[in-house]
Parts: sequence; structure tokens; C-alpha cells
Amino acid sequence: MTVREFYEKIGSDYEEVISRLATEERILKYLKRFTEECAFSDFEKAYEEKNYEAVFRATHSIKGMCLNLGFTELQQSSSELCEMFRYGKPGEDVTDMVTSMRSDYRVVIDAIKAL
Amino acid sequence: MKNRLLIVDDVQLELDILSDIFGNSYDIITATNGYDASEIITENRNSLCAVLLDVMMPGIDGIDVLKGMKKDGLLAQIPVLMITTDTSREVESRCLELGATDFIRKPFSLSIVETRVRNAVNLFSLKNNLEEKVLEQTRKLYEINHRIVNMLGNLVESRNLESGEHVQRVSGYTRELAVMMMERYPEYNLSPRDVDVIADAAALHDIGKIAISDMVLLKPGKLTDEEFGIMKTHTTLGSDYIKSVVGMWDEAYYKASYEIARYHHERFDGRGYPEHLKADEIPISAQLVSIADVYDALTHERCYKKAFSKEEAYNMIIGGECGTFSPKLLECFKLCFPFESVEQ
Repeated sequence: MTVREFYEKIGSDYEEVISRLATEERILKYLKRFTEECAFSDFEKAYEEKNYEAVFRATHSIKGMCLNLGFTELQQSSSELCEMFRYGKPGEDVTDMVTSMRSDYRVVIDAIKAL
Repeated sequence: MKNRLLIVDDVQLELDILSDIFGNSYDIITATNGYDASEIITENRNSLCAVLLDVMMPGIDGIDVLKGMKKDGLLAQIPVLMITTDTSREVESRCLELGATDFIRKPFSLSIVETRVRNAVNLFSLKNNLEEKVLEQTRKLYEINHRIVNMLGNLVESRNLESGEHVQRVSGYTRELAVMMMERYPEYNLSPRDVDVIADAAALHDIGKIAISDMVLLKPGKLTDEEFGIMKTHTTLGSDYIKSVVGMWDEAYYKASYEIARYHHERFDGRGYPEHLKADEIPISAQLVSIADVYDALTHERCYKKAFSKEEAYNMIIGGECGTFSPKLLECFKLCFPFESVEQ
């Protein structure tokens, strides 16, 4: 799979990303690096321990990386969670939102592995 | 030229992206938390050309690091660009108020980030160079003031048929006394710069003597009342000369030179000349010079008198035989010129 195909697969805009990050070589390097980042496991741990401040920080980090790498869907779902936890406790629909972010994350990780 | 760039972010991926952008242009240092960042900034304060600083970090965050830099006065010399994901207006204005130079917002666009940082680095380098140049010019100006004043003082001495040593000595004594005064009596608000200016301006205390006739100036023996009246005018003539060159020297030099030339023969008890000023009506600069001038006149030979020993001079001044001086000034004099310790 090419980098362009990768972005098509995860429903994101390849042109936008390449215009910002300049070369596919770099993008590839950053995608690999993304799979090594601990923000997502930090999130799972913090969510389980109900450490909401840490949940906020982890989702904030995920959102930042998604913005830079152009992961539209995952950025959307991590951003919503981040906002929910910014000022304290989660709302009623938190379980659905977490499920949605996990699934978006899975899509990205699987697609990177197929590169 | 400073070329060290510090990048601070708690997410390794962001550090990688930014490091890649600048790897060829700058000497990159990275930190993943605010604590390390602050240490690196302190250690590299003179070599950093910019800091890219993530706002949101666990523990010491970007705003805390920024506050620390502000406290250490570093924000005037090192540009700080804040890395932000979702910036609320409050966070942004908080950073700007503290002194952040610019923002790098996600998503990063390599060319924009690069230009933004380069602009900030160039701007600060220009600004810092200019400041350095101004400082250097100011130092030169001080040096020139110093030389002109000394030259004028020596000129007066040559009319006196004496060497320029009297002028140098009075200037030196004045400095010692002024330093002591600054340390012991803060009520006079003397700064180290004031001490420098007063010591320099002391060289001009007798500049008015240029206009005094040889008949009076060089007369061996006692002056008649009329001649003494003429001699006294060297204070007002001197200050008038100095007044006529206002605008050429900086304000501090002008003020000290004027005061010293005019008032160095005033006495603490009001019985001096030309204006019969009393006590602290006499500017502190002139008070300092008056005692230095008397001390030097006593300890060296003049056309109308022999030299006294330092011990004799000390006792004459403390004993009030050569005018009256403020108790604070006498205290400084005792500390600066204790005759006991004078080498025999």
C-alpha cells in the first residue's frame, strides 16, 4: 500500500498532508513513530483508573498528533473526548465516544501496519 | 552567531517533526518536560537563538517555563514560540502578555514553521546586535567625556605652572570619598555611575582659574582683599564656562561639573563662597571635592606655602582649621585617609 492509498483507506486527505509535511519519506517515518507513541495506552490506563486529568492530557496528545498526521476521523473522536474531560467529569455518552475513538485508532494502526 | 534551538514537547513524535525541520539549520536540543527545559535554558542562556515551547505538558507546563524566563529577564534576548494544539483565546493572550514572541499551531506546515522561527531568530539577532552596539557607543561616549574633562583639567593646571598631578589626585581622592559615601550613606542616592561622573568632573573644579590674571593666580605670598575677591570669581567663572557648553556633554556630566566648579569653596557652616550655601544645600558632589581639594592643597607645596605631612593635614582637617565639613563627610574622610596607616 502506498502512502496515498493509506490516507484514502483511513478516509483522510493525502494532498493536504503532503503539502504540509513535504515528502512521503518523512510521512512514513512519522507514521511508524505514531505506532510507538504511548499516548493511547496512557489513555486506556487513565480511563480505567478514572484519572480524568490524565485522560484529558492523553486525548490532547492524541489529538495533536492526529492534526499533524492528518488523521481526520481519529482527530475528531479524540478531540470530542478531550473537550469532554477538559473541565472535569465525563457525560452520559462517554462510553460510546470511547468506543468510537478506539475503533478509529484501530483503523489507523491496522492501516499503518499494512504499509 | 547564536545557533542553538531548544524544542520542548512531551510527545516524541512532535519533537521528531520539529527537529527534522530545523536539523540542518540549527544546533538542536530537545526536552520532553518543563523541568529539563528550564535547566537547559539556564545553562544555554547565551547560546540559544530561540525556544519552541509546548504549552500543555504534565507537571511544569509551558506557561511555567515562560514565567521562569520572564523572571530571569531572558525574554528580551531569546524569542519563545509557543507550540499549541487548541488555543483558547485566554491561553494565547496569557502567553503574549508574559512575553511569548509567536505561536506555532498544529497542524504543522513545515515551510510556515520554518519561516516563522527564522523570522523570530533574525529579528532578535538584529535587536540584540543593536542593543550591543548602543552599549558600546555609550561606553565610548563615557570614555570621550572622561578624556575631555581630564584634558581641560590639565589645561588649567598648566596655567597654574603646576603639573596635572593635582587634578589627578583630587579626582582620585574624590572617587575614594564618593565610594565611601555611597556605601555608608544611602540617603545621598549615589550610584556607581554617579561616583564615576563626580570623580571625572572633579578634574574641572578649578576651570575658572583660566580667566584669573597671572598677577593674582601666581602671586607668591598672601593676597590682598581685592586680589582675594578676584580669586574667588574662579568659581562663578568656571560654572559659567561649563554652562556655556551645555548640550555637548551628557546631562549627568554637565550637572556634576557645574556644581563642582561653582560650589567647591562653599562651607558647611555657610561661610564659604560664592553663594554662602549651608549644609546639604551644597551639592554632595561639591562637598566631596572641597575636602579632597583641601587635603591635596595641604599635603603638597604651593607657590605660597610649604607641604604639610599627611598626619598634620589630617589633624588640621579634623580639627576644623581648614573649613567646616559635614560630619558624614568627615567620617568618610577619616575612613579613607587615616594617617596612622600612611606609609612613612
